[in-house]
Amino acid sequence: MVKKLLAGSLLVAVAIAAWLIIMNDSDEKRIIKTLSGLTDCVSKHSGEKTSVMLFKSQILPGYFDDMCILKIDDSHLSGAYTPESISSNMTRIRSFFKEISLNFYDTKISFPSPDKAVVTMTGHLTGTLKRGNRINESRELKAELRKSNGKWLVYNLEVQEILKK
Amino acid sequence: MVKVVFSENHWIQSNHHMEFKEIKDKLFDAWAEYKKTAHKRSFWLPDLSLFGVIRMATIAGATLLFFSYICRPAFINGGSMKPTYSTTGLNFCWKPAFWFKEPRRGQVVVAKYAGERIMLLKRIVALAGDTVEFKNGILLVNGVEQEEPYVKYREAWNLPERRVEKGNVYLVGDNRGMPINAHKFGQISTQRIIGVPLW
Repeated sequence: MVKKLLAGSLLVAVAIAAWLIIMNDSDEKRIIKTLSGLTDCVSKHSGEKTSVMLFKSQILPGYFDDMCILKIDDSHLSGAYTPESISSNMTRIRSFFKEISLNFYDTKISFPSPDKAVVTMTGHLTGTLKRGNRINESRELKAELRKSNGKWLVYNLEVQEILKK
Repeated sequence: MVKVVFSENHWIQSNHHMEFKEIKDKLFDAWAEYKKTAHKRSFWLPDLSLFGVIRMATIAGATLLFFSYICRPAFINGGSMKPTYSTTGLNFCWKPAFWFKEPRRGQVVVAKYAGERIMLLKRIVALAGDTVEFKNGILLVNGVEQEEPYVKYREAWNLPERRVEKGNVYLVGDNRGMPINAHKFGQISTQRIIGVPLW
Protein backbone atom coordinates (compact mmCIF):
# COMPACT_ATOMS: atom_id res chain seq x y z
CA MET A 1 0.00 0.00 0.00
CA VAL A 2 2.82 2.39 1.00
CA LYS A 3 4.71 1.53 -2.18
CA LYS A 4 1.63 2.31 -4.27
CA LEU A 5 1.15 5.62 -2.47
CA LEU A 6 4.81 6.53 -3.03
CA ALA A 7 4.62 5.60 -6.73
CA GLY A 8 1.40 7.60 -7.07
CA SER A 9 2.92 10.66 -5.35
CA LEU A 10 5.98 10.41 -7.58
CA LEU A 11 3.80 10.29 -10.70
CA VAL A 12 1.82 13.34 -9.53
CA ALA A 13 5.06 15.21 -8.79
CA VAL A 14 6.45 14.38 -12.26
CA ALA A 15 3.17 15.46 -13.88
CA ILE A 16 3.20 18.78 -11.97
CA ALA A 17 6.85 19.41 -12.90
CA ALA A 18 6.11 18.65 -16.56
CA TRP A 19 3.08 20.93 -16.50
CA LEU A 20 5.13 23.71 -14.92
CA ILE A 21 7.88 23.33 -17.52
CA ILE A 22 5.47 23.21 -20.46
CA MET A 23 3.00 25.84 -19.33
CA ASN A 24 5.35 28.35 -17.73
CA ASP A 25 7.62 29.03 -20.67
CA SER A 26 9.30 32.37 -20.42
CA ASP A 27 8.47 34.95 -23.05
CA GLU A 28 11.95 34.52 -24.53
CA LYS A 29 11.34 30.80 -25.00
CA ARG A 30 7.95 31.43 -26.59
CA ILE A 31 9.46 33.95 -29.00
CA ILE A 32 12.24 31.51 -29.90
CA LYS A 33 9.56 28.86 -30.50
CA THR A 34 7.62 31.25 -32.75
CA LEU A 35 10.73 32.02 -34.78
CA SER A 36 11.67 28.37 -34.93
CA GLY A 37 8.18 27.50 -36.19
CA LEU A 38 8.53 30.24 -38.79
CA THR A 39 11.82 28.84 -40.09
CA ASP A 40 10.30 25.34 -40.24
CA CYS A 41 7.42 26.67 -42.35
CA VAL A 42 9.75 28.47 -44.75
CA SER A 43 12.23 25.59 -45.10
CA LYS A 44 11.64 22.97 -47.73
CA HIS A 45 13.34 19.63 -48.11
CA SER A 46 14.05 18.11 -51.47
CA GLY A 47 10.99 16.16 -52.65
CA GLU A 48 8.58 17.75 -50.19
CA LYS A 49 5.12 16.27 -50.49
CA THR A 50 2.14 18.43 -51.46
CA SER A 51 0.40 17.57 -48.19
CA VAL A 52 3.39 18.96 -46.21
CA MET A 53 3.42 22.08 -48.36
CA LEU A 54 -0.31 22.58 -47.76
CA PHE A 55 0.08 21.99 -44.03
CA LYS A 56 2.87 24.56 -43.81
CA SER A 57 0.88 27.11 -45.78
CA GLN A 58 -2.01 26.56 -43.36
CA ILE A 59 0.01 27.14 -40.19
CA LEU A 60 2.27 29.95 -41.47
CA PRO A 61 -0.38 32.72 -41.05
CA GLY A 62 -0.56 31.80 -37.36
CA TYR A 63 2.85 33.39 -36.77
CA PHE A 64 1.86 36.85 -38.02
CA ASP A 65 -0.29 39.66 -36.68
CA ASP A 66 -3.39 40.89 -38.57
CA MET A 67 -1.21 43.21 -40.60
CA CYS A 68 2.52 42.70 -40.92
CA ILE A 69 5.03 45.08 -42.49
CA LEU A 70 7.89 43.50 -44.42
CA LYS A 71 10.94 45.58 -45.39
CA ILE A 72 13.34 43.75 -47.67
CA ASP A 73 15.84 46.28 -49.06
CA ASP A 74 14.55 47.67 -52.34
CA SER A 75 12.65 44.48 -53.10
CA HIS A 76 9.14 44.64 -54.54
CA LEU A 77 8.18 42.27 -51.73
CA SER A 78 8.34 45.10 -49.19
CA GLY A 79 4.97 46.28 -47.95
CA ALA A 80 2.11 45.63 -45.55
CA TYR A 81 0.58 42.17 -45.76
CA THR A 82 -2.15 40.13 -44.14
CA PRO A 83 -1.01 36.76 -42.72
CA GLU A 84 -2.84 34.97 -45.55
CA SER A 85 -1.10 36.98 -48.26
CA ILE A 86 2.28 36.31 -46.60
CA SER A 87 1.46 32.61 -46.67
CA SER A 88 0.41 32.61 -50.33
CA ASN A 89 3.50 34.64 -51.33
CA MET A 90 5.70 32.26 -49.37
CA THR A 91 4.09 29.24 -51.07
CA ARG A 92 4.80 30.86 -54.43
CA ILE A 93 8.43 31.63 -53.50
CA ARG A 94 8.96 28.12 -52.13
CA SER A 95 7.69 26.67 -55.41
CA PHE A 96 10.72 28.20 -57.19
CA PHE A 97 13.05 26.20 -54.96
CA LYS A 98 14.03 22.56 -55.05
CA GLU A 99 15.12 22.93 -51.45
CA ILE A 100 15.41 25.85 -49.10
CA SER A 101 16.53 26.26 -45.52
CA LEU A 102 16.18 29.26 -43.23
CA ASN A 103 17.93 29.50 -39.87
CA PHE A 104 18.06 32.23 -37.29
CA TYR A 105 20.97 32.67 -34.91
CA ASP A 106 22.73 35.32 -32.78
CA THR A 107 19.24 36.13 -31.52
CA LYS A 108 18.90 39.06 -29.12
CA ILE A 109 15.51 39.80 -27.57
CA SER A 110 14.46 42.97 -25.79
CA PHE A 111 11.08 43.99 -24.38
CA PRO A 112 10.22 47.70 -24.80
CA SER A 113 6.89 46.93 -23.09
CA PRO A 114 5.45 43.73 -21.54
CA ASP A 115 3.44 42.89 -24.66
CA LYS A 116 5.99 43.92 -27.27
CA ALA A 117 9.33 42.41 -28.20
CA VAL A 118 12.12 43.45 -30.53
CA VAL A 119 14.32 40.68 -31.85
CA THR A 120 17.57 41.20 -33.73
CA MET A 121 19.10 38.15 -35.32
CA THR A 122 21.05 36.79 -38.23
CA GLY A 123 19.02 35.04 -40.88
CA HIS A 124 20.86 32.46 -42.96
CA LEU A 125 19.11 31.35 -46.12
CA THR A 126 20.48 28.52 -48.21
CA GLY A 127 18.78 26.78 -51.06
CA THR A 128 18.79 25.48 -54.60
CA LEU A 129 16.50 26.93 -57.20
CA LYS A 130 14.69 24.55 -59.52
CA ARG A 131 16.79 25.90 -62.39
CA GLY A 132 19.91 24.88 -60.45
CA ASN A 133 21.30 28.13 -58.99
CA ARG A 134 22.56 27.90 -55.42
CA ILE A 135 21.63 30.57 -52.87
CA ASN A 136 23.62 31.19 -49.72
CA GLU A 137 22.80 34.49 -48.06
CA SER A 138 23.14 35.81 -44.53
CA ARG A 139 21.52 39.03 -43.42
CA GLU A 140 20.84 40.84 -40.20
CA LEU A 141 17.14 40.95 -39.40
CA LYS A 142 14.96 42.88 -37.02
CA ALA A 143 11.59 41.48 -36.03
CA GLU A 144 8.97 43.14 -33.87
CA LEU A 145 6.41 40.95 -32.14
CA ARG A 146 3.21 41.63 -30.26
CA LYS A 147 1.72 39.42 -27.58
CA SER A 148 -1.82 38.45 -28.36
CA ASN A 149 -3.73 35.92 -26.23
CA GLY A 150 -0.45 34.59 -24.86
CA LYS A 151 0.97 34.10 -28.34
CA TRP A 152 3.78 36.17 -29.85
CA LEU A 153 2.95 37.36 -33.37
CA VAL A 154 5.25 39.09 -35.83
CA TYR A 155 3.99 42.49 -36.98
CA ASN A 156 7.16 43.93 -38.44
CA LEU A 157 10.05 42.16 -40.12
CA GLU A 158 12.88 43.98 -41.80
CA VAL A 159 16.18 43.14 -43.38
CA GLN A 160 18.71 45.56 -41.92
CA GLU A 161 20.58 47.68 -44.42
CA ILE A 162 24.21 47.36 -43.35
CA LEU A 163 25.86 48.43 -46.58
CA LYS A 164 24.25 51.44 -48.22
CA LYS A 165 25.29 51.95 -51.83
CA MET B 1 69.36 -10.23 -17.46
CA VAL B 2 66.26 -8.11 -16.78
CA LYS B 3 65.99 -4.47 -17.72
CA VAL B 4 63.04 -2.40 -16.52
CA VAL B 5 62.71 0.95 -18.26
CA PHE B 6 60.49 3.79 -17.05
CA SER B 7 61.92 6.37 -19.35
CA GLU B 8 65.16 7.28 -21.08
CA ASN B 9 66.81 8.31 -17.81
CA HIS B 10 65.03 6.02 -15.41
CA TRP B 11 65.73 2.36 -15.70
CA ILE B 12 67.15 -0.44 -13.65
CA GLN B 13 68.93 -3.51 -14.64
CA SER B 14 69.12 -6.72 -12.69
CA ASN B 15 70.71 -10.10 -13.03
CA HIS B 16 69.95 -13.50 -11.62
CA HIS B 17 72.21 -12.92 -8.62
CA MET B 18 70.07 -10.11 -7.20
CA GLU B 19 67.70 -10.83 -4.37
CA PHE B 20 64.00 -10.34 -5.05
CA LYS B 21 63.80 -7.69 -2.29
CA GLU B 22 66.71 -5.83 -3.80
CA ILE B 23 64.96 -5.76 -7.18
CA LYS B 24 61.74 -4.64 -5.55
CA ASP B 25 63.49 -1.80 -3.69
CA LYS B 26 65.25 -0.68 -6.82
CA LEU B 27 61.94 -0.70 -8.66
CA PHE B 28 60.26 1.44 -5.98
CA ASP B 29 63.19 3.89 -5.89
CA ALA B 30 63.19 4.24 -9.64
CA TRP B 31 59.41 4.71 -9.73
CA ALA B 32 59.58 7.40 -7.03
CA GLU B 33 62.33 9.20 -8.93
CA TYR B 34 60.29 8.95 -12.14
CA LYS B 35 57.21 10.40 -10.43
CA LYS B 36 59.23 13.35 -9.12
CA THR B 37 60.16 14.45 -12.62
CA ALA B 38 57.05 13.23 -14.44
CA HIS B 39 55.40 16.69 -14.47
CA LYS B 40 58.18 17.93 -16.75
CA ARG B 41 57.09 15.51 -19.45
CA SER B 42 53.34 15.87 -18.97
CA PHE B 43 52.78 19.37 -20.36
CA TRP B 44 50.17 18.20 -22.85
CA LEU B 45 48.59 15.72 -20.48
CA PRO B 46 49.06 17.14 -16.98
CA ASP B 47 48.09 15.36 -13.79
CA LEU B 48 44.59 16.07 -12.57
CA SER B 49 45.94 17.86 -9.53
CA LEU B 50 44.62 21.28 -8.47
CA PHE B 51 47.65 22.94 -10.03
CA GLY B 52 47.16 20.99 -13.27
CA VAL B 53 43.50 21.94 -13.51
CA ILE B 54 44.23 25.64 -12.80
CA ARG B 55 46.96 25.60 -15.42
CA MET B 56 44.70 23.98 -18.02
CA ALA B 57 41.88 26.43 -17.24
CA THR B 58 44.27 29.40 -17.52
CA ILE B 59 45.61 28.20 -20.86
CA ALA B 60 42.09 27.52 -22.17
CA GLY B 61 40.82 30.92 -20.94
CA ALA B 62 43.79 32.82 -22.39
CA THR B 63 43.40 31.01 -25.73
CA LEU B 64 39.68 31.78 -25.84
CA LEU B 65 40.27 35.46 -25.01
CA PHE B 66 43.07 35.75 -27.55
CA PHE B 67 41.11 34.19 -30.40
CA SER B 68 37.86 36.01 -29.49
CA TYR B 69 39.01 39.54 -28.69
CA ILE B 70 42.46 39.93 -30.23
CA CYS B 71 43.03 37.67 -33.18
CA ARG B 72 39.81 36.16 -34.46
CA PRO B 73 40.01 33.35 -37.01
CA ALA B 74 37.96 33.84 -40.17
CA PHE B 75 37.36 31.78 -43.28
CA ILE B 76 37.29 33.71 -46.51
CA ASN B 77 34.41 32.63 -48.71
CA GLY B 78 33.86 34.69 -51.83
CA GLY B 79 35.80 36.34 -54.58
CA SER B 80 35.02 40.03 -54.05
CA MET B 81 38.64 40.77 -53.03
CA LYS B 82 40.30 38.91 -55.89
CA PRO B 83 43.18 38.95 -56.73
CA THR B 84 44.39 40.46 -53.42
CA TYR B 85 42.75 37.57 -51.54
CA SER B 86 41.77 34.24 -53.01
CA THR B 87 38.21 32.96 -53.03
CA THR B 88 38.71 30.68 -50.04
CA GLY B 89 41.20 30.46 -47.23
CA LEU B 90 41.88 30.97 -43.57
CA ASN B 91 42.87 34.32 -42.18
CA PHE B 92 42.76 36.10 -38.84
CA CYS B 93 41.14 39.39 -37.97
CA TRP B 94 43.63 41.50 -36.00
CA LYS B 95 41.43 43.56 -33.71
CA PRO B 96 43.97 45.81 -31.96
CA ALA B 97 44.53 47.59 -35.32
CA PHE B 98 41.74 50.04 -34.45
CA TRP B 99 42.09 50.23 -30.69
CA PHE B 100 44.04 53.48 -30.92
CA LYS B 101 43.83 54.35 -34.60
CA GLU B 102 41.07 55.36 -36.97
CA PRO B 103 40.49 53.46 -40.23
CA ARG B 104 42.43 54.92 -43.17
CA ARG B 105 41.61 55.19 -46.85
CA GLY B 106 43.09 52.30 -48.83
CA GLN B 107 43.16 49.95 -45.85
CA VAL B 108 41.71 46.43 -46.17
CA VAL B 109 39.40 45.88 -43.21
CA VAL B 110 37.13 43.29 -41.67
CA ALA B 111 33.61 44.54 -40.91
CA LYS B 112 30.69 42.87 -39.17
CA TYR B 113 27.94 42.21 -41.71
CA ALA B 114 25.39 39.93 -40.06
CA GLY B 115 25.52 39.17 -36.37
CA GLU B 116 28.83 38.14 -34.88
CA ARG B 117 29.81 35.51 -37.41
CA ILE B 118 29.36 36.89 -40.91
CA MET B 119 31.99 39.46 -41.78
CA LEU B 120 33.04 41.38 -44.85
CA LEU B 121 36.57 41.71 -46.14
CA LYS B 122 36.73 44.95 -48.14
CA ARG B 123 38.89 47.97 -48.84
CA ILE B 124 38.09 51.45 -47.52
CA VAL B 125 37.95 53.77 -50.53
CA ALA B 126 36.44 56.84 -48.88
CA LEU B 127 35.94 58.33 -45.45
CA ALA B 128 33.08 60.32 -43.90
CA GLY B 129 32.36 63.51 -45.81
CA ASP B 130 33.98 62.27 -49.05
CA THR B 131 32.00 61.86 -52.24
CA VAL B 132 32.15 58.56 -54.13
CA GLU B 133 31.31 57.89 -57.73
CA PHE B 134 32.01 55.25 -60.40
CA LYS B 135 32.34 56.26 -64.05
CA ASN B 136 32.95 53.46 -66.54
CA GLY B 137 34.62 51.40 -63.85
CA ILE B 138 36.86 54.23 -62.61
CA LEU B 139 36.47 55.22 -58.97
CA LEU B 140 36.24 58.92 -58.25
CA VAL B 141 36.60 60.19 -54.69
CA ASN B 142 35.78 63.86 -54.21
CA GLY B 143 35.68 64.12 -58.00
CA VAL B 144 39.26 62.88 -58.40
CA GLU B 145 40.05 59.69 -60.32
CA GLN B 146 41.73 57.14 -58.07
CA GLU B 147 44.69 55.04 -59.06
CA GLU B 148 44.01 51.58 -57.77
CA PRO B 149 46.91 49.26 -58.59
CA TYR B 150 45.23 46.44 -56.65
CA VAL B 151 42.27 46.36 -59.07
CA LYS B 152 43.13 43.88 -61.82
CA TYR B 153 39.66 43.08 -63.14
CA ARG B 154 37.40 45.93 -64.08
CA GLU B 155 33.92 46.22 -65.56
CA ALA B 156 32.28 49.45 -66.62
CA TRP B 157 30.59 50.22 -63.30
CA ASN B 158 28.55 53.38 -63.13
CA LEU B 159 27.27 54.82 -59.89
CA PRO B 160 26.05 58.39 -59.40
CA GLU B 161 27.92 60.57 -56.90
CA ARG B 162 26.98 60.17 -53.25
CA ARG B 163 28.41 61.48 -49.99
CA VAL B 164 29.67 59.24 -47.21
CA GLU B 165 27.69 60.03 -44.08
CA LYS B 166 29.18 61.00 -40.74
CA GLY B 167 30.44 57.99 -38.78
CA ASN B 168 30.63 55.85 -41.92
CA VAL B 169 33.29 54.70 -44.35
CA TYR B 170 32.84 53.48 -47.93
CA LEU B 171 33.88 49.89 -48.62
CA VAL B 172 34.46 48.30 -52.00
CA GLY B 173 36.08 44.99 -52.92
CA ASP B 174 39.10 44.80 -55.23
CA ASN B 175 37.31 42.54 -57.70
CA ARG B 176 35.45 44.91 -60.01
CA GLY B 177 35.20 42.27 -62.72
CA MET B 178 31.69 41.30 -61.72
CA PRO B 179 28.40 43.11 -62.42
CA ILE B 180 27.88 46.03 -60.04
CA ASN B 181 24.66 44.49 -58.66
CA ALA B 182 26.43 41.24 -57.76
CA HIS B 183 29.09 43.03 -55.70
CA LYS B 184 28.40 43.90 -52.06
CA PHE B 185 29.75 47.37 -51.42
CA GLY B 186 28.70 50.67 -49.91
CA GLN B 187 28.95 52.76 -46.81
CA ILE B 188 29.00 51.15 -43.42
CA SER B 189 29.20 52.42 -39.86
CA THR B 190 32.76 52.57 -38.48
CA GLN B 191 31.43 50.80 -35.39
CA ARG B 192 31.08 47.68 -37.52
CA ILE B 193 34.74 47.70 -38.50
CA ILE B 194 36.45 45.31 -36.17
CA GLY B 195 39.97 44.89 -37.47
CA VAL B 196 42.31 44.15 -40.34
CA PRO B 197 43.29 40.82 -41.87
CA LEU B 198 46.51 39.52 -40.35
CA TRP B 199 48.02 38.89 -43.81
